Amino acid sequence: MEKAKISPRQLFMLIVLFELGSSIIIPVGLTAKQDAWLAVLGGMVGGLLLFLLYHKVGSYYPGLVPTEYMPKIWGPFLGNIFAFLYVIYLFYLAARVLRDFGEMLVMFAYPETPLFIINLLWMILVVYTVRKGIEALARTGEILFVVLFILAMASLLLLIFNGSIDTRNLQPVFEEGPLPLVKAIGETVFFPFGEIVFFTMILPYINDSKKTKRAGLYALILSGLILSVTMAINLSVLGYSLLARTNFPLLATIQTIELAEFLQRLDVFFIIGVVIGGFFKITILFYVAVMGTTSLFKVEKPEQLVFPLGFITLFLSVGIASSFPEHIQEGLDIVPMYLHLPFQVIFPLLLLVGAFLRNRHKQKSSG
Amino acid sequence: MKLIGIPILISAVLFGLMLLLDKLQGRNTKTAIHYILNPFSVMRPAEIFVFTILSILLIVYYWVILSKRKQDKENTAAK
Repeated sequence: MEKAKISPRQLFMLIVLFELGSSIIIPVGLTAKQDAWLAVLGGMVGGLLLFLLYHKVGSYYPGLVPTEYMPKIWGPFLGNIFAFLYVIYLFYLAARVLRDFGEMLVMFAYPETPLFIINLLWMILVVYTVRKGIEALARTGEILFVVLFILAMASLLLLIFNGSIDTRNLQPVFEEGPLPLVKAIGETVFFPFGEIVFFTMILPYINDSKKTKRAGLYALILSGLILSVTMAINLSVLGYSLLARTNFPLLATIQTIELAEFLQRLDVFFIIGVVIGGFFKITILFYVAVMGTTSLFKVEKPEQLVFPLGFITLFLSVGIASSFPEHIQEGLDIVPMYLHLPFQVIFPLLLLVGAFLRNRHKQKSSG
Repeated sequence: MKLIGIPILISAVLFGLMLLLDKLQGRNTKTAIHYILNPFSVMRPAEIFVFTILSILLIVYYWVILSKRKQDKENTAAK
């Protein structure tokens, strides 16, 4: 494990940047139609419960990352196998997110540039940052968090002054009963809030472990509120039927801004947001994947593996699907059921039970 | 050994995972492999050039790291 320390405040900012990374751009909770903003709030509550679960498991083994405490809980054979599967899950998701952001830039800004080249440029930046370590990433987060906050506030104010917001688009509430809302909440728990599971690899780096839980919970609450407000604004401006047909609703919303026939075409706000969010999302995922690998295989110099593993992630991001629709379909139909559910909910629950039983046994024997 | 073995192991398992996910979507193995390799087979010349440069860089990287490690071992043994 890297010998580095970050503060709870830096953790808070990293979590917010990570959670908002792709979810602010891709619509979430749309199964609930115009109640999507409520689904996000419901998903946030689920995310808070999941974070408490991960934190509780980690509290049994302070200073250790999941790939280190899994063998302690489930025994060396089973524990190492699951730790390896966890690492594979991390690499797969890093590649998925890289593909998401690469496709987004190709579609929106660089239609003539091959996806491979765009992803390569992302990966050069990510590999460089990961080699610099978590402290450098956390300090970058402190700066870019402020930039993103200013952009968000400016966009919100411009939308209000522009008069694009029509709250009638949010009505009727519960049009089709509570079932679609419940289903949408289930979806938003996995993406984006359940992704907080990756921070279990970063929690041991916090210099004040007592404040870790509070920082994580506050970060999730803030992310949930921002996402919910964003979804409500997108729905108010575009309406559900237009929003459902748009790839990037936030971009469509920002494009409606036109003040005094002067302040218009503010797409650059969107692009800056995409680049900042994408950078943190991919970097954190790749960082935890590399750290998981090096701690599992006990590699002495983790930085030596960063370049080869970055190479693999880059190629995986291109080969993961033959087209963007296929990539999205796989992400919606297959990944939540076969990957997110086991790694975000089932395994942590089993780990909690295992950790509880082992530690109870230890306490008894020491007593 | 770990430096070479770990990336190979991870690539192999990730390839297996992609195959598995494709099979879960109802494709047979041959079609699944075709889907995975298709993006690489339609690369433009410029992409192939960059791909080649990257591969050479990776080989050079390993060569430098492994020779440095060998040198370190020899120095330690000499001491």
